[in-house]
Amino acid sequence: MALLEASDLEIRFGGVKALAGVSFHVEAGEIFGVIGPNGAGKTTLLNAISAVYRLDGGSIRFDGADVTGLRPHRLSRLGIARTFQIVQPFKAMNVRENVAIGAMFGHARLRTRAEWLAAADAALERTGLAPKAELMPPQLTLADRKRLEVARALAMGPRIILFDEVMAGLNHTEIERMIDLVKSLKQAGLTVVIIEHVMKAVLALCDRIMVLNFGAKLAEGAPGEVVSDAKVVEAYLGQRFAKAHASAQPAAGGAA
Amino acid sequence: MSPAPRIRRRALVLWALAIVGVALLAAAPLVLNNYWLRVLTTVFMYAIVTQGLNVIVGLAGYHAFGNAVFFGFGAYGCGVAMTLGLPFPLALVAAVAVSAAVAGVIGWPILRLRGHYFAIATVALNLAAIQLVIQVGGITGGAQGLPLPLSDLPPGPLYRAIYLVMLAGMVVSTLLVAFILTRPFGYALRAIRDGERAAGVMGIDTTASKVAAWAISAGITGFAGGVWAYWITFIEPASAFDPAIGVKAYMMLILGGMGTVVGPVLGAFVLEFLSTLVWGGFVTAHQIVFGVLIVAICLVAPNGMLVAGRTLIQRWRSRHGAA
Repeated sequence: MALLEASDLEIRFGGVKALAGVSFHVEAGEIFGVIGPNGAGKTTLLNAISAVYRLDGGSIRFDGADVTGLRPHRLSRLGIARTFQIVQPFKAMNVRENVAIGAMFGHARLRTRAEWLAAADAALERTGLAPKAELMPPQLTLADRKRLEVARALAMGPRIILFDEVMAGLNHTEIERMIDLVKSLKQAGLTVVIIEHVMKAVLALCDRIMVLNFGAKLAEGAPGEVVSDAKVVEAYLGQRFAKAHASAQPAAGGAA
Repeated sequence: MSPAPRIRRRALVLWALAIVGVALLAAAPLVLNNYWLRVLTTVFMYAIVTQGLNVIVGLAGYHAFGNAVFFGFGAYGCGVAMTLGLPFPLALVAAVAVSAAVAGVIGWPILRLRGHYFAIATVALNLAAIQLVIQVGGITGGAQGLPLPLSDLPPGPLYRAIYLVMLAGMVVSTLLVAFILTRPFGYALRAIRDGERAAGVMGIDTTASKVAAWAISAGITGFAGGVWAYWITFIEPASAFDPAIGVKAYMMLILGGMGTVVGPVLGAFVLEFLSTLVWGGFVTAHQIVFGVLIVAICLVAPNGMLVAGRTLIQRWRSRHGAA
């Protein structure tokens, strides 16, 4: 069953259509990737789904209910969580408090301080940040700040998490750890939408991929099909990636 | 000693100091002459206004430069209510209610503005309020000003009573800020201050939180305005809505430390005493001397005295090797 269904999403900035009628759906329990060149509208798409931007057209259904036009805090309590590409920690609160905010306001059921802190500690544990719970965000490395974004989202007890380039700027080891983390979320039954430029992560994680270009859908399908699609190679991946990919894993597809 | 009990013990010491300080201030009218009584009442009044400013600026991060507009609404709320025959305590309730209601209603549209746009909108609000009172006229007295009904009390006891009401306002507003900081509402405001978008997608109703914060801020500020009106017994638009009140409170907030609990009180004491001393020492040039002092303070302690003091202590400790 489709957990998230977006129809004809449209966002305009002045005369520019950042999203020009994009439709897609995300199945419960899958990892859905969104790729595309810079400026294609990927982050705008996330902002549209999480109601950070107001839609100029189209509709969004979540778990069968129309959620079009709901404010961000209402969506969060329905179970939609997200991270930010440019990390946005609350810099005057320590790591544990940052995560507890998610449990305190974004969780649909938790009511007491003890429950909030327990949810925060569980999220810190899952993301490997537990030893750094008492640090302040500026003391964290970029990789840890990306993990903090994930931990804050997890503490909300979401049903779907939208990741906006959580791998960007990380080194190889850190990317491997983040891939493992996202995989573990899927195993725990979460649905994931992931915007990513790191193709290694996209191919390792995604069940299906949608390619955006100039605010419109260029292609959609299993990772193996999409990366060998001539239009996608032309617009985004480039010939070098296509050749390397073809020789490295001729029949790639599905979750690794 | 492990850090947790040490912090708890330090908190106990601070609470004890605060209680002794408040008790001393409460007993002070028995020995103070009228001059120092007036100076201290003014200090308390500014501490309240600064604490009100602290809620919207220090906690929520919205720079309300024109926040003193609620001082004026409080003053007029109290003045009009007393003219209508209400006793002073009820008029004070009206002052707080009117100020909070104005912030609540105006907050919905203008708290959508961010950064300097919001700051300028609040300044415009302050100036508009002066015109509003003048145009409405009637029971507000308009441009002619509004004399308040005189108290039955003789001046001596009356000024001491007002001193105590201002002191109570300072204590209660400070406790209110301390309380808010321990509640989810306080966390919501701090989250909005540090990242409003993230706060929204993490489940915080940012609009409602901001409007509530501004209403509380306005209520606190309006309280000070209401007591002030009764104290000076005659108010007019230009003095009740004087933008200089807001500017002074801002300096006190910066001096004491934004977003801290006792910073606003500290800032009010230091700045008001400084200004009183400078006034006494440099009768003709006090504005210049005072201005230079403010600039110096901003350069030396831009994050407030509390942060500057903590940094100094840490530096001293590391230099002397004591843990």
